[in-house]
Amino acid sequence: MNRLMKAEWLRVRKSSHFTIWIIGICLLLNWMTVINVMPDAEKSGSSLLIMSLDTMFMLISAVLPALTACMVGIHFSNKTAYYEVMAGDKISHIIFSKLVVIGLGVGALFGIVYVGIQAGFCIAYGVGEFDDLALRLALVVIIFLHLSLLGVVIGTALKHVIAPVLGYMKVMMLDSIFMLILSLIFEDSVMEKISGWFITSQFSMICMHEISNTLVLQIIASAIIDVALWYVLSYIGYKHKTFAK
Amino acid sequence: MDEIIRLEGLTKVYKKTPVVDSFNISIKKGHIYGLIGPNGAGKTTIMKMMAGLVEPTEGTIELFGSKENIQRSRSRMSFMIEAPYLDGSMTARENMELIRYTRGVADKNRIEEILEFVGLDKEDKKKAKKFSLGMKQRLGLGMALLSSPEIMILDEPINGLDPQGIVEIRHLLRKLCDESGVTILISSHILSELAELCDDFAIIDKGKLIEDLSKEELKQKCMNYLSVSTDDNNRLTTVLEQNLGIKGYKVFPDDEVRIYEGIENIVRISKGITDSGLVLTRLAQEGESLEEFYLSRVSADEDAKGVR
Repeated sequence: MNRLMKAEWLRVRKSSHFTIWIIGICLLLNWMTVINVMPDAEKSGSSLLIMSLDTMFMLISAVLPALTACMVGIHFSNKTAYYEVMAGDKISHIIFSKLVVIGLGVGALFGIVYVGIQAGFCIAYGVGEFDDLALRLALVVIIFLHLSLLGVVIGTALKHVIAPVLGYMKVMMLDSIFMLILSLIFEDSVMEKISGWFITSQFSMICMHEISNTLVLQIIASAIIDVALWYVLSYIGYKHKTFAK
Repeated sequence: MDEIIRLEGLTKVYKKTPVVDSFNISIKKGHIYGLIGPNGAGKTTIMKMMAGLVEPTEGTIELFGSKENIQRSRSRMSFMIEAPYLDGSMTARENMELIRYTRGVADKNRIEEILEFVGLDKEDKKKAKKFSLGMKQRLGLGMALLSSPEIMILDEPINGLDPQGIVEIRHLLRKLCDESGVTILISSHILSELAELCDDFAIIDKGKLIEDLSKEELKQKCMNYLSVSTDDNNRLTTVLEQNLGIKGYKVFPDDEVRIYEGIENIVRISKGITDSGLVLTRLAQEGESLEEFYLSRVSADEDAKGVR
C-alpha cells in the first residue's frame, strides 16, 4: 500500500491546479473570518470560532468534500486510476491509499491552518468566553477530516469527475432534506438530541452549545458511519467493476 | 506450463446484447497472439475483462495456470487498452514515475532507459496533454514496458506511429518475446504488421471467435492460388476451360490470372498451357495476405448469417 500512497502523493504534487485551489480556498476562508472579527472590540479565540460559523463553516461543508471528490474523480475521468486495478492491487489498498493521502492530507491541511490562526488569535487577544476551546477546535478538525474523507469515498464510489457535485449535494442538500423530514416527524426536544449527527448542525453546536460527551460521540461516530457507508459503496463498485465504459 | 492464458466461454452482455459471446482462446507462453476483428467486434472488451476493468457476465479467465486470485496475477502483466491512459497535466517522465510507484518498480534508472527507447527522453518539459497521438502511443508503450511484465496486453499499440516507429515497436515486441519469453496479446488494424509479428491469430467478429490458427496454419490456408501470366491471357482462359477443364479462375487487370482449382498439380497446368503454344511469363503459387484472409473469413461469416 505504501507504493500506492507514493503514487497518490505524486498525483497531488503534480496536479498543481488542485494544490493552488486547496491552499487558496483554505487561506481565503480563514482570512474572511479574521477580517470579520478584527473590528470587534472584544476579539478573542472564542469570537473567532463563533464568527467562523457565519463566514467559513458552511462554505467548507460544501467545498471540502467537493474538492477531494474532484481530486479523486478526475483520475477516473482520465482513466489513470485504472492503473491501480490493472496492477493487481487489493481494492481496500486502493481506497485506503486515497483516503490517507487525499482525505487525511487535505483535511489535516485545513485543520492545521484553522487551528494555527486560532492559536495566534488566542495568544494575541486571549481565549475569550469558551473555557474548553481546545476541545472545540479538536472537534472542528474532526469535522474537517470527516468532510475531506467523505469526498474521497464519494469520488471512489462514483468513479467519475461528476463526483464533486454529489460531494456538495450530500452535505448541503441530502443531509438538510433528511433533517427537515426528521423535524417534521419529531418534536424539538428530540431534534436537539439527534441533530448532532449531522455535519451542518455540528458546527453550530460546537460554537453555541456546551460540549457534552454525547456531542463528542455523535461527531466522531457520524464521521465513522458516513465514511464507512460510502466506503462500502465504493468497494462494491470496484468489485463489480463499475468503471466508465 | 505451456498455456499462460486461457479464456473459456468468456461472455459480456450489455443491455441484453452480447458484446463478447462464449469466447475461447488459449495462448502459449512466449507467443505473440494477434486479435483481429472489425471495430465493435469485442476485442477491447476482452482485453478489459482480462485487465479487471470489466466484469465478465459468464466464463472464466485463467492466468499463469490458475483461475484463482486473478487480481494478484495481474501484477505480473501490463496493459495498454484503448488510447494510453495518461495524466495530461504531467510530463512523460512524471507519468512513468506514477507507474513506477503503482507497480513498485525499484530501479529509478529504468524510466530513463524506457524513455530513451521510446524516444521521449528529450521531452522533459512538455505536458502529456500536448503530445501528438504518436507520442502518446510511445509513452503508453513505455508505461506498459516499465514493470518488465510476463504478459503484455496491447490494444492497437502501433496506432498513430510513423513507419519507423512501427518497425521499432515490432522489433522490440519480437525481441521481448524471443529473448525474455514475454507473452503478448495484441490487436491492430494494420494487419500486415500483425502478419509479420504474430505466432498465432484469432479472428473475432460480433463478439464471437471465427477462426483461431497458428502462423503455419495461416500460411497453409493462404497458399491457395496459382498466379499465371502468358503472352496472351485471353487465350489462356480458353485453354484453362477447354484443355484443362478448370473453371475456378479469376482474371485480374494487371495481366494476372489466378487459378484456384487443381493447383496441387502445377506440372499438369504448366504443361497444358505451354502445349497450347502460349508462352508462360509467370507461374507462381501464392496466397492471400492476412488482410485478404481476414476479409474472406469475416464476409463468409456474414454470408452464413445472412443465409440463416
